[in-house]
Amino acid sequence: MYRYDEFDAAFVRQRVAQFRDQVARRLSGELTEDEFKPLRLKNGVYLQLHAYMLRIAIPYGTMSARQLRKLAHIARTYDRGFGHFTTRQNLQFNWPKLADIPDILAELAEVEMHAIQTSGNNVRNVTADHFAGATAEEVADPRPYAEIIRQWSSLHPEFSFLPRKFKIGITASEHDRSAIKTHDIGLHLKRLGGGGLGFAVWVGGGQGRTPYLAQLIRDALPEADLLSYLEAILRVYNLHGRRDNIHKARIKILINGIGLEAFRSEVEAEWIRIKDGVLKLPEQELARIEAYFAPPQFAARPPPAELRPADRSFDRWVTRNTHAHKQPGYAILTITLKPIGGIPGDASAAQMDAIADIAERFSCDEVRVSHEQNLVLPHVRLGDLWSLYQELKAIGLAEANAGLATDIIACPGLDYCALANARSIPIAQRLSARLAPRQDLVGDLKIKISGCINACGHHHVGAIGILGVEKRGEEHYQLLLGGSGTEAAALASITGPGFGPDGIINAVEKVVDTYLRLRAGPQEAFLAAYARLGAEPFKEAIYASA
Amino acid sequence: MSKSSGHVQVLTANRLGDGAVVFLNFDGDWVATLAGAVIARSPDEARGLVARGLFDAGRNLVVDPYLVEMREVAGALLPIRQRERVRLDGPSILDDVPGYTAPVERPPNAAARGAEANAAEGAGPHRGERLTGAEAA
Amino acid sequence: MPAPDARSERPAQPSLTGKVDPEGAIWKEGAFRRDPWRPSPAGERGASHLLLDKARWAAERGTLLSRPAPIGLTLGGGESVDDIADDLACFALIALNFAKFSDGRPFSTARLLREKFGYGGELRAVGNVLSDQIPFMRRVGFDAFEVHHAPTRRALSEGRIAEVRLYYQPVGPAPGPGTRTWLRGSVG
Repeated sequence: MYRYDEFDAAFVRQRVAQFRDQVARRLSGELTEDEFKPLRLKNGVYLQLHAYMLRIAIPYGTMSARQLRKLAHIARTYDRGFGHFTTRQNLQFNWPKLADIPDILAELAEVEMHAIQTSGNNVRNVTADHFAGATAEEVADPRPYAEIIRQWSSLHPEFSFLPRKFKIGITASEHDRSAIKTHDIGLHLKRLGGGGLGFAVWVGGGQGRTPYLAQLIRDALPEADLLSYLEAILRVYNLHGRRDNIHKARIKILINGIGLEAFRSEVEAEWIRIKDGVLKLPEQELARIEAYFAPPQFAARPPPAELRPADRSFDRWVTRNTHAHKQPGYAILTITLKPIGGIPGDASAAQMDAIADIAERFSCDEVRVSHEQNLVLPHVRLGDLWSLYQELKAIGLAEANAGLATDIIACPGLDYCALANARSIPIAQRLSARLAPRQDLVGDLKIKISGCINACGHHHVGAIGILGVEKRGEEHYQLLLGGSGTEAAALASITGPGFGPDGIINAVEKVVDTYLRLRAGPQEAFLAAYARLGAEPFKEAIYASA
Repeated sequence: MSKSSGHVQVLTANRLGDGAVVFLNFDGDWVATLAGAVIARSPDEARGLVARGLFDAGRNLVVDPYLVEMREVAGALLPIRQRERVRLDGPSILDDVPGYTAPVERPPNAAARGAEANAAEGAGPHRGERLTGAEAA
Repeated sequence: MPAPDARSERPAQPSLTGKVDPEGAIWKEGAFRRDPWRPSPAGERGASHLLLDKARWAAERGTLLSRPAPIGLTLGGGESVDDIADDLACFALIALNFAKFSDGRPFSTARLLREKFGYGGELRAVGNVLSDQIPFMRRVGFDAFEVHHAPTRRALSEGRIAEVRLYYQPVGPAPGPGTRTWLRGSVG
C-alpha cells in the first residue's frame, strides 16, 4: 500500500497546522460560523444532531494494522469508544470536541492518515473495489490510479469550491463491486485495443433527491490521459454546474440539462487543449506508484488445512464470507460488521484493536473497508481460516452473513444526523432480527436504508430500499424494490404509499415471503425473480388488507 | 406556534465547543437540560428568543440557534416532532453500540459561559458531556 | 465575437499599481494600496482610466479602442472569456468577482485567462475575498485582491495567512521544478 514520503508527511502536517489556526480563529470569534463552515467541512468536520462528527479518510478503503490501531486509540481517547465505517469506505467518529480535532488530526498524520476533503464541495474519497489486489477478476489493481487521483485532487486550487460534492469510484473487474455507475465519475479500468491499460469513463451518476445512473462519456481513455481528462470534466462542471439551488448542483443535473452530447463536446474541446501538457502521466511515474501496491510475499506452499471435526457453522462462514483469491491457497475474507440485531458498520475500539492484530498475523498487515460497511481481510491463507474463525467469534464478528438479508446497509439516520428525517438504525436492527432465521434460505439480498433523501444509505440501489421521511412530525418509511449498484445497475422503484416503523418491517417481510413463494427455485436470486415477476405480485402482498 | 393548540416554544442550539444540544434558561445560560428553559408563549416572546439566539451565536457561545415547538404535559415539556425528541434524548440505540463508553457527568452548575469556557472545555483529550435532557420528560 | 478586421491593435497595457496606503482596498505586491481604478458611469469618457463590465465593452468597443488610456474589465462569476479572447491585451486589469466565497467559478476563469489565453495584466479578485481562499487564488493566477473583511486584512498585513505551502498538482503557465512536474511542487 502507499507509504508517505517526506513530501506527503509534510503536506498533512501543514494541513493540520492550518486547521489548528482556523479552529483557534473560530473559537476566538475571528471567524463566524458561516465563514468557518466550509473550512471545517474541508477537514471532514460536521455539526450533527448531538455533537460534531469527524469523518476520516481511508483512501480507497485500504488500511494497515498500525492505522487501524490508531483509529481505536482515537475512539478510546477522544470519543466514546467506537467508530462507524461508512458507505464511502471512510470512518466516522460521532462525539469529538471541536478544540480536540486538531490534536486528533495530528495523531492521524503520525500514521499517514487525514480527514482532508471528506466533506465539502470538492473531490471526495476515491473509492475502489474492496477486493482490489486480491481478486483474479481484475485486469490490474485499480488502487494506484485511485492514489494518483487522490494526490492530484488534494487541495486543488481550481476545484476546491465546486458547485457541490464530487465522488469518483473505480473498478477493474467486469463484476462491479464499487458501484461506479452511482458516482459523479465512474472509472472502469480495462485493457484497450492496443493491449495497454485504460478506462471506460462514466459520468453523471448520483443518488440523493434525484438519482441518476452514470452515462458512458468515453469508452477507451488511455491511462496516460487519466488526469487531463478528469481535469477537463471538472473544469466544465465547475464553470457550468448550477449554483442557484443546492439540490440541483451535482454534475448529474448539468448533464441531464444540456445532454450528454453537449457535455461531451465541451469536455473534449478542453481536453484536446490540455491532454499533451503537464498532466500526461509518464510511464515511470505510473510504475513508481504501482510499486507501492505490489502484492505481498505469498507463501509458495501454504500449509494445508488441519484435520478437524466437522463444524457446520464454520463451513457456513467459509462458504458465505470468503471469496476466491488470485493466489492458490489463499482467500479473501469478509468480516461483516452486521451482528444479528446489531448496528450496521459500527466497531468498538477493542474490536478494532483485535482486527488490527488479526490483520497483521493473518492478512499480510492489510485490511479493507467496503462501501457496504464491512471489513475485508484481503490475503488470508486457507489453512488459517479455522484459527481466524475462532478469533473473530471471540470478538463477536463471525456472523456468516456476507451478502445475505441481514447484511444490511444503513446510514446513521436520525439517531445521529442533523439532516435525517427518520431513524434508520432501529429499522436495520429489527429487520436483521426478523429475517435472520430465514436468511440462508433467502440467499443474496441487499437491503439498504437511508434516513433522508440524501441517500447516504444508497437505498436507490438496494434490491430492497427503504427511505425514511417525516410525515406530520413522525417517522415514516417508503419502500423501493429492484435496485442494484453492480455493472447491471438499476434504480429501485417505489412500491406505493409508505409505512410507519412497524409497518415497514412487516412490509419487507411480506416482500421476502412473496419472493420465497414465487421464485423459480433456490437458484433464482431475489433480483432475478423480481425482474421476471415484476413489481405487481410484491405490491399486492404488501398492500393487501390485513 | 399556535396559541390555541397549547404549544409553546423554547430556544435551542448546539454548543460551539463540543456541539452538545443546549437550551436557553432563565438565567440566560445555555444548559444541556430542558429544566428551567425559557418558554415563549406568544409570537413576540418567540421573536425575543430568536434575537437572543442570534446574539449569542454572534458571541460564539452557540451555533445554529432555533425555536423548538413543545407540548406542555403535566408541567413537563415534550417536543412535538420526533426529530426534536431524538435530539433531546440522544441516540436511541446507544445500548447496542459496541464499546460505547458513556462520558463523565458534568457538575450541574458548570454551564457554558463565554468563549473562554468553550476553549477550556476543549483543551486536551477527555470525555464528552452527557445530555441530561431526560429530566424534562 | 469581434469581427476579424476590428481586432484590437492596441499594444499590451501595463498594469497599474496604486500608492501604498494601509487603508487602501487593494492588496498587491505585498502591501495594501489605493485603487487606481474606479467604476465608470456609462457614457463617461473623460476619466483617465476606465473600468467596464463586459456589456459596456461590447457596446463601446469601437470607440474605446482608439483611446490610449488604460482599460479594465470586470467579470461576474458566470461570464465567459472565450468571446473576448482576442481583446484581452486591451485590458490592463481584469477583475473577477467572487459573489460568494463558495462561488468557485472564477478559479477556473483565472486559469483560462493565464494559461489558455496568456493574459499578462493584473488579475484581481474582488467580492468575497477571505484569507483562506487567498492561497488558492494566488496559485491560479490572481496577483491582486480587493479585501474588505477586517480579519483578512489583518492577516495579510501581518503575513499570517495559514496555508499549505506544498502542492500536488501543477497549476500555472510554467510547470514547477522537479522531476515529477505533473504531480508536485511547492509555493515559493
